[in-house]
Amino acid sequence: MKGSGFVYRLTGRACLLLLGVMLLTAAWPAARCGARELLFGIEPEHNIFDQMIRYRGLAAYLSEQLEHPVELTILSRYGEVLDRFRSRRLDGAILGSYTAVMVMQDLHLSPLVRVLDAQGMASSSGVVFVRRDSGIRDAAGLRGKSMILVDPSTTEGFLFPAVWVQEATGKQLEDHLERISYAGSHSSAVLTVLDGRADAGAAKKSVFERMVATDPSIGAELEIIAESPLLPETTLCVRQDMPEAMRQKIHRILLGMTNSPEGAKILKTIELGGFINARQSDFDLIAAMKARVAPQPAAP
Amino acid sequence: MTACRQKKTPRLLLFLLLLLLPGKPACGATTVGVLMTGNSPYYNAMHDAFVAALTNRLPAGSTVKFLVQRPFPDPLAMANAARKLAAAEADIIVTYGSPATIAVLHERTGIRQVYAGVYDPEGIDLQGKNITGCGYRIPLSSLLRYLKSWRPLASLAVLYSSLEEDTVRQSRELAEIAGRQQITVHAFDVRSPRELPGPAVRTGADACFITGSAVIASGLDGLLAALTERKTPSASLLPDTAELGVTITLFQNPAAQGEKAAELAAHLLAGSSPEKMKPVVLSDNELEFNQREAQRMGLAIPITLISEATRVIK
Repeated sequence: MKGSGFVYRLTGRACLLLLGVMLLTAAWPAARCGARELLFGIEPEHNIFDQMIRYRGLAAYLSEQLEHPVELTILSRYGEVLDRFRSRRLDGAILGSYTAVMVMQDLHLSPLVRVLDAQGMASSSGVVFVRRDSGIRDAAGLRGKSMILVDPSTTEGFLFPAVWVQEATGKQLEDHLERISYAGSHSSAVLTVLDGRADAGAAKKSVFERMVATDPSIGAELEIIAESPLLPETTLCVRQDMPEAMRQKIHRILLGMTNSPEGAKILKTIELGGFINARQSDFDLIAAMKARVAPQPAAP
Repeated sequence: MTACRQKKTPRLLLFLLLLLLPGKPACGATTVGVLMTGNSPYYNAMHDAFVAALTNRLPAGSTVKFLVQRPFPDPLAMANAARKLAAAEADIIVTYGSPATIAVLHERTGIRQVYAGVYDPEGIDLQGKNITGCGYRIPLSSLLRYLKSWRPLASLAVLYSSLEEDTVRQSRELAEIAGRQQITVHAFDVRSPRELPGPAVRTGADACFITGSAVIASGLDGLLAALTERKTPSASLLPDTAELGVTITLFQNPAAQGEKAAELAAHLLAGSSPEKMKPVVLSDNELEFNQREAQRMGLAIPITLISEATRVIK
């Protein structure tokens, strides 16, 4: 009987030990398996195929420099960003500014670097636009009209117009407008207003300007009636429990890309201007805007 | 003597015709006179929505009689139909399309009028103390933009009808936009469906634009068959409800206009003054792309059209 109790105690201790080991390894997946790849999510901004191809080049460069495999995955919506970080299947993500603020607040992620576009800009503005023949000139004029937004998780295509309407009219977007719909991309929001499929739209100013440059008749037909201050754009956020050495290494490699011939070549291929350091305070304005509007609506 | 008799005969005929028209129904019933520009599916869809919405808006037990006229959109036929409705002492007259609206307005019947389906109503003079209504505006430049996404557009055939004032405006507006983009426009006036497909399909134009004409709508099937044969894409601002093969359409939902007209008519019947009811230009257009037709013509399918279209016909 005694022997049998000893065996039970031993088995119980072994189970506890095993459980402890499991918990420890789960805390940082790389510890569980040294060769486990770093997995970064990408929030779709425009054409996901185009975006995936662009960032794949970056992942290959990072893998080589880190001597550690780096993989990318597309995140379809904010809910998925949360789920995948919570289930610890993501180490970081390249996110739009509004989603970045949400993950920093909800999941305590840290901003690591901000992406510079081909023109060397790491910030962008949001614009609200209408057809020039619509007779709409301000937020009050949108009462009872329809509006096309980009996605409920975008700063330029949701948060900015929501704050703008609220500050001007004292009303929530959905109470002031007759109908709100989501285009899924900034360029689609522009086309929707051009066609008269919605009375007003909101999108990223850089996308609006790119479309006008390609087809000047768009600029002749549409008019910008509101513009946000400059806001941070795409940002790489990483888990706070990522080992400091790894975080520093990634930071150093990305910031140094413009100075290395190989890095510069990759940047040119993927049409990026490079990376700059990201600080939590870069997102203060967006956090303040977020606090002003009502609870976040569910993604469509 | 003979001349005098010839002069009197049409008046006598008109008098007899008026006698044959059903008179104003017994007290308590509401008579709604309806004048449609031709027998276009677009205006018929608008009218169906109008009848359903008005019936719902009136108090339970109300009796409404609809006197519907669908004359060919010839000014004389339109004026005669407007007089018939005036003679029937309709409580209100509802008009669909610009020619019908203008015909009733010019008759100065004194009867309150609600219009619907008028293209860019601010572009014409629809002033009067007895008139209100709703219309629509389609950015024709958008249709041109989508047509250009298929192939380089050097020339464009435009079909309109001088019998329908709004289609003349559409043709001019499009010619102006196309001119700015160095696109040559060949405009064709269609005064009868029998003239279709006509010379428009033989111009070798890169695309064909069909204005919102009831006359052209009557001969649309033959026109589209000829265009498909010549692999010429078409664009229109009326919905292709029968899926006859218009490649791309950007239109205002007819049901929305019928419902808005019913809302305005219900207010008038309740005693509101038309002067106090501001005319409305409805937005929220819809984009329809006929992928089946584009494939039949061997056209490359622009991804923008598939992703942007409210409806894709496959």
